[in-house]
Amino acid sequence: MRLSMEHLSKRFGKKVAVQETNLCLKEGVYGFLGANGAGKTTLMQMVCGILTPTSGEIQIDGKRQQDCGEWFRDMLGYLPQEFGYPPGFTAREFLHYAASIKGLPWNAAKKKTEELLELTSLSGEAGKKIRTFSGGMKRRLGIAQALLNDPKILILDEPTAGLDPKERAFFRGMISDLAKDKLVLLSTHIVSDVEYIADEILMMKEGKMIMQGRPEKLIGSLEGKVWECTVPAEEWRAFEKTCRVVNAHHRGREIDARVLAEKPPKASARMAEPGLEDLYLSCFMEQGEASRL
Amino acid sequence: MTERKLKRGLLCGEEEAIRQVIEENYEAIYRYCYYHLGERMAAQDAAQDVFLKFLSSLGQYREWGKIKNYLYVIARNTVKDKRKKKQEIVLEHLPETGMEREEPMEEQVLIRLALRELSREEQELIILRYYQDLRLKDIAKVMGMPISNVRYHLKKAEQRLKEVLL
Amino acid sequence: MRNQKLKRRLQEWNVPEFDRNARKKLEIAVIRSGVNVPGRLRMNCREFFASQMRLIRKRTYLWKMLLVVCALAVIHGGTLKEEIWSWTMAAVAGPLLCLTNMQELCNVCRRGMRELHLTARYSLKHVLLVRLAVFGGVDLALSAAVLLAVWLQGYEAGRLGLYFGVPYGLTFFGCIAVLNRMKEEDGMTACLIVGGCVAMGILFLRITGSGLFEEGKTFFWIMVGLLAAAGILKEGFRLLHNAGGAGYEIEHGTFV
Repeated sequence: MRLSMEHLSKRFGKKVAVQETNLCLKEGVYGFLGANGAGKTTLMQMVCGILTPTSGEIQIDGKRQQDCGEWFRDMLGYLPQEFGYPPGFTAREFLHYAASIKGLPWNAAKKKTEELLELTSLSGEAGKKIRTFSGGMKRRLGIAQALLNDPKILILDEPTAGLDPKERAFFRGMISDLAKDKLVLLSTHIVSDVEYIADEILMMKEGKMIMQGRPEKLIGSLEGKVWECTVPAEEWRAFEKTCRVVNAHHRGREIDARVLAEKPPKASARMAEPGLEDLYLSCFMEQGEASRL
Repeated sequence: MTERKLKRGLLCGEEEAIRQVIEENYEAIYRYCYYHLGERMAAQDAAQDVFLKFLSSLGQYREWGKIKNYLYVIARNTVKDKRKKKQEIVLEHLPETGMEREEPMEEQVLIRLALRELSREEQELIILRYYQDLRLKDIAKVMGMPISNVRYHLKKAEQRLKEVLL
Repeated sequence: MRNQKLKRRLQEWNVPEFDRNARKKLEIAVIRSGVNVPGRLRMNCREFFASQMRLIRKRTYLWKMLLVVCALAVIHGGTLKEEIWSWTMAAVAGPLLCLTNMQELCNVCRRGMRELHLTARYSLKHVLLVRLAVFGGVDLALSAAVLLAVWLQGYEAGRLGLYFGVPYGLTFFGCIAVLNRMKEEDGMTACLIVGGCVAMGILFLRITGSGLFEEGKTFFWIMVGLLAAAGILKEGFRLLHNAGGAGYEIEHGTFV
């Protein structure tokens, strides 16, 4: 299966949310990184057919998305960033409703609902009202509804927002298992969510796709540019302005810093193994700006 | 099985439904492909492609109404692709027709030549109408043109063929 | 009409028999390739209608039955003899019956569910059509049953029907307008306010002796009824248009 976007762009009045994006995606997990306002959600909504592109085209296996209609929606599973539920519905009722509008016959819907409740560890809470659910439970329910129609294309917009580390780990494991024969496009600004499960990373900044490739290849471009050093507290202010600080750990009168720089920032600096977070910050941070993560 | 039950069976991947569709339509599709491609092996290959494509694209199928019409739409596209790849039939070396060589081949050659003189569209109309016995309504659906156009072009094609063959 | 002579002539082009084995191999290849996994079966419109009906909560019908039971109790209890109060009760019952439908409609029209509807096989429009058809049909049937009971008792069923139908229509118009404009997640509160205002308005006019139910005011009722009907059509079409399938741009156009 091939999902391709050609010269895709979207404007809202004068604001350009997505600029001239060209992508060709196949089965696998795509980690879609970018800050708030980068255009990730807009792009995803265009792929889902919720928003109409201002220009450009989306094709699935060579067919234009707008010509595909029901066939395309039938193989799509979408988890929006903000998801509303009728609070009076129980988890089971909600999934039955979602299954119905996705066209699943009643018996198949019941069976699939129970399977997905089991998969997302919500079987015990299936009969409880959604308004009593925690944030993590709601997200899991959202993922369950996205999987009802056994989609070939799964679009998840910030699925781990608001989840605690344990839930995020659970979620990562679930996506890894599901992604075998699917195209999964997963957007987040939490780098660790995609670091280990993504086959490819897509990075978006101010509406433009700035990077695409396998994580190891992209991270490799930072080889020799990530340094760790210890800086005395009194020198810290001046030091911060000279390079991009990824991480700073204050230990009394000294600060352990991890920085991005072409050359060693200090004589005593040690070269460090670059990671995806370093790559992300190298794209989104300006010199002199400390990471506030 | 009724058409409706058959469609539902296909969407379910039921073997019985798949077998029935192939059994009911294989010969017609094979013959259609033969009329276009002129060779038994090529027609069999094309017919196989048609059924495989049909079953893998059932998601979009609803727009085409009858199963038979959708098969013909796919068959049209398939023979078009095959024709592009195939060389021109050399008429001196006519392929095996399953008949004795002493049979009047000239008649067949005449018919094929007469059809060749028509435009692609007219050939298609004649094949669907006279060989595949489709109704005008179904031809219109398969070819994606209004029924009035079908009548008009078919009449023209019939006229030209009558001049040559009758 | 096929030209039979031409047909006979064309049929002289013989087609060689196909290889039966090739056909058999095709059957096996296709079935083995598993192009259609069981479970990809999807409902047609009729089945969708039936499945949506199952999902309408039973309490919606229970509230309607409760209203009907109360109405029948009033009819058989002889309270209808006091015409003005019976008409007032009918006029207040209209908004109440309309409000029994609104929780279901508000549930499916929640803003946060729009994306779910826009990416599903059956759009919000289909969902709303099912509910509007079912609720319209059920309310019509129940109202007809009650009015029949009224008529059998020898009272003015026509006028009662008018005093019931117009406030029902006004409430429905107001609630659909709310659904079209609501920015909050849940419009039920706003719908309750609409229904409450209609009911309280009627009670107020009745208590202040405005002569709302006098025979001379029938024309006024009919005019209000027609305006409500026009409003329902306008807002109803707008609601269904806005609830359309993929391709419809969601109102708040997120660009995060």
